[in-house]
Order: sequence, then C-alpha cells, then structure tokens
Amino acid sequence: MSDPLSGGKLLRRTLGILISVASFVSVAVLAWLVDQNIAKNPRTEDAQVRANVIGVATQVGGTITGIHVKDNQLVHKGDLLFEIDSRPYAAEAEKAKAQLALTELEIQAYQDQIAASEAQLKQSEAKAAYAVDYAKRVQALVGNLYVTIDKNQLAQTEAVTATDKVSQDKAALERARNLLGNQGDVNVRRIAAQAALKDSELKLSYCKVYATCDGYVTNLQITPGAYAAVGEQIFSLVDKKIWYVLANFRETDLKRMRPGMSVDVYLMAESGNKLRGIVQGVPKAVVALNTPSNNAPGGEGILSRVSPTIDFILLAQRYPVRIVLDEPEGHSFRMGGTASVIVHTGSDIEEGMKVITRLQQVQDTEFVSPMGGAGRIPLNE
Amino acid sequence: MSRWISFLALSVLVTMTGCDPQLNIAGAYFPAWLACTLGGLFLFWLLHLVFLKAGLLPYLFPLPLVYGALIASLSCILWLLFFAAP
Repeated sequence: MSDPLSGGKLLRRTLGILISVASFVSVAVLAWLVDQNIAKNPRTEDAQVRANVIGVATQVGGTITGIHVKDNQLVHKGDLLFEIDSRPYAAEAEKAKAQLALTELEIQAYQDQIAASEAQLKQSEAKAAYAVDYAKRVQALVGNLYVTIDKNQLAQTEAVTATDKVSQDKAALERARNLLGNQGDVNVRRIAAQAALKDSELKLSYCKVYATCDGYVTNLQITPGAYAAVGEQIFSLVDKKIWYVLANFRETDLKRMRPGMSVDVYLMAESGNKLRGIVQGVPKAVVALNTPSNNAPGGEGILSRVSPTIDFILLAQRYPVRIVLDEPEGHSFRMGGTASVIVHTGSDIEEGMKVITRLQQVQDTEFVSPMGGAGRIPLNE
Repeated sequence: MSRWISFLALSVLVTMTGCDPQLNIAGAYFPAWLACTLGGLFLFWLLHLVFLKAGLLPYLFPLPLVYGALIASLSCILWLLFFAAP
C-alpha cells in the first residue's frame, strides 16, 4: 500500500472521527433540506386525470331508430348523436295542433253564446220592467174594485216571475262568460291548448339527441332497435375542453394550498414530460373513512354512531385537490389516468388565477335546448 | 464538508427543475425515493471500498450508525439533485 494515510495511525484515527461526526451532521442537514423542500412543495402520487362527463340520456322514451356516432368518436357541440322513433310524438303534436284549432272554434262558440245570453237578458229585463209597472198599476186599482183580486194576484205573480227571469238570465250570461275562459285580456282555454302544442312539439324535438359539448363518445354499446327509457343514459360524452387532475393530498399539506398555485403534473401516460397545472380549489369535505364512528346526520335513527375504540396509529385523511391542466390541446389525456403532482406553494397566485379564468371561459358555455333550432342546437360560439 | 454542501446547493440551483417523481421501469412505476435509496446504496458501496482501502474502518464509530447516516445522506443528495422542486 502506497497510500499516504497508511503511514500515520493518528491521521487515520482523526479522519475516522471526522467522517463519523460529518456523517451525522450531513444526514441531519440533508434530511432537513429534503423536508423543507417537500413542505414547501407538497407532492402526491395519489392523483388521477379527470374530465367532465355527460351521461347522454333521452328526455322521451322510444325505440332508437338511428345512431349517428361510433364509440370513441370525437363529436362537436350540436352534432346529431342518435334518434328515437318520432312517429308517436309527431302524432301527438298533430293532435295538439288539432286541439288548438278546435279550441279556437270553441272560443268562437262561447262568444256567440255570450251574445245570445246578452240578448236574452235584455229581452227579459224589458219584460220585467213592463210586468213590474203593470203590477203596480193593477195594485193601485184594487182598492176601488176596478180589478178583481185574482187579476191583481196574477199581475203580482207575473212581476215576480219576470224579475226572477232577469236574475236567471244574468246568471246564464255570467256562466257563458266563465265558459269562454277569459281572464283579463287573455283566454285561458287558448293558453292551455297552446301550451299542450308546445309541449308535444318539444317532446317531438327530443326525439333527436344532440351533443351538448365537444367531446368523445364513450362506452357506446347499443345499436338501433334498442329501447331507450326516459332518463336512461345511453352512453357517455367526455368533454374534451377542460381536463383536471384530482390529487389526494394529506390534510397536513392542505393548509399551505391556495387556488392559483402552480403545479407540476407528471402523467404516467406521458412519462418524463412535465405538464403545468393550476390549483383550482381545495375541498371542504370528504367522507371520513379513517374512523369507525359516524357523525353524519340521518342514518342510524338520526343519531351519531360513535365507536368506543379507535386505531392507535391514525393516518392523515386525504382530500382531492382539484388541479386544472393548462394547455390541454395536443395532449391525449384520458380520464382515470394516473398522475403525480407537485404543488409549488411559493408560486405567483395572481398569475395562476388568470390562467384558471382563461381555462374556464372555454368551459362556461351554457346548454341550449334543441327546441327552436332547425334540427340543431343554436351554437353560441 | 461545507464546500461539499455549497457544491450541493449550487447543483440544486443549477438543475432548478425536478424530474418525474415516478420512474418507469418496464411498465412498472417506481417512486423517486426508492431509486434514490438504491443509488445511495450504490454510492455508499463505492465509499465503503475507499474506506476499506484507506484502512479507515476501525476508526468509524459507531460503524452501523455511521454507515446508516452515510446511506441516508447519499440518498438525500441524489433526491435533492434530481427530484427536489426548485
């Protein structure tokens, strides 16, 4: 051995002690550095890619007569997805149209009825006026015995009868007016018939189902001929515009997290490629799974169910922090994909919030009903 | 030692960007800390050979703790170099 150290035992001894001490100091310092880094930039591997999913369902029941998309196909907002047998609904709409026409005729008839009742009332009023006058005149003559008592009684009876006829005809007029169904300037019969027609036309329009967003048809496993029940989801549409990562962070990490913080996202599907995300929100609630107790309202006779034993070692609850992926174009994100994320708590929050606002502008397009368009949803973009 | 730490701090500053914390090996994903531990073990083995050659082994006390501390230190260094967030 020509090593210079081998000469002096003392040197080796000193060096040995130095290395021993240095190893303890270094491990303390380095562990502290690692801990600081992780505390300032919390990370988790428990994260999944998520997207907004629309369960495409029909608003009317019926046999599916045509499916115009294929599984995994990209569709655009307003594209025709599938059709339901529209014949029953078309017939229903025709019926409602006829009913509306019939209602118009009915309204005319009731108006005529009112005119007749008015005439009738006028007539009976005139008759009553005469009968009452006549009865008065006859009454005046009874004392002088110019008329018989019987004649007088007959005149009085006729006066009462004629007056009652007026009341009767007034009631008949009132009834005819009520049957017409006018309330102020509007006719409720007409409104009911028009609403029924609108409803049946709406149902007819629901026979064609359109895409409500740009997205991917997913899990389409039926063919024309299948029966679609009202509200039953036929397949899913994965909104392609906005993608999220739900990263489940320990509750100990959450206190540093704020919406707008910049995030490094690594997807298993794009190994080694660093993507950018922004924290959109930190959740306020999850179901507590690490305790056997249940303090939720309702359930078990609306009382808390409290376990007398708990685990000796408690694990931190995890909360799904929502991270919006920036610049989703050009990536083939898949919902459910595995991700790992690092949140930079020291990043520029205001800049991050601007990115969030920009990304959500794309998302906030409202759904427009198929009604009123010429077979397509009116596109507002 | 302090020079070593300053070199380390400098390296961290220079790299400035962390790597993917999941390492893909034949379709299975390994966490970064596992890779760092394995790398730390390997570097420690090299260091052990140096100590052996220099005849320092009898003077490292307490040996198991010193070795444990060295393995942990080397692993931490690797993690800080490659996986720490800037």
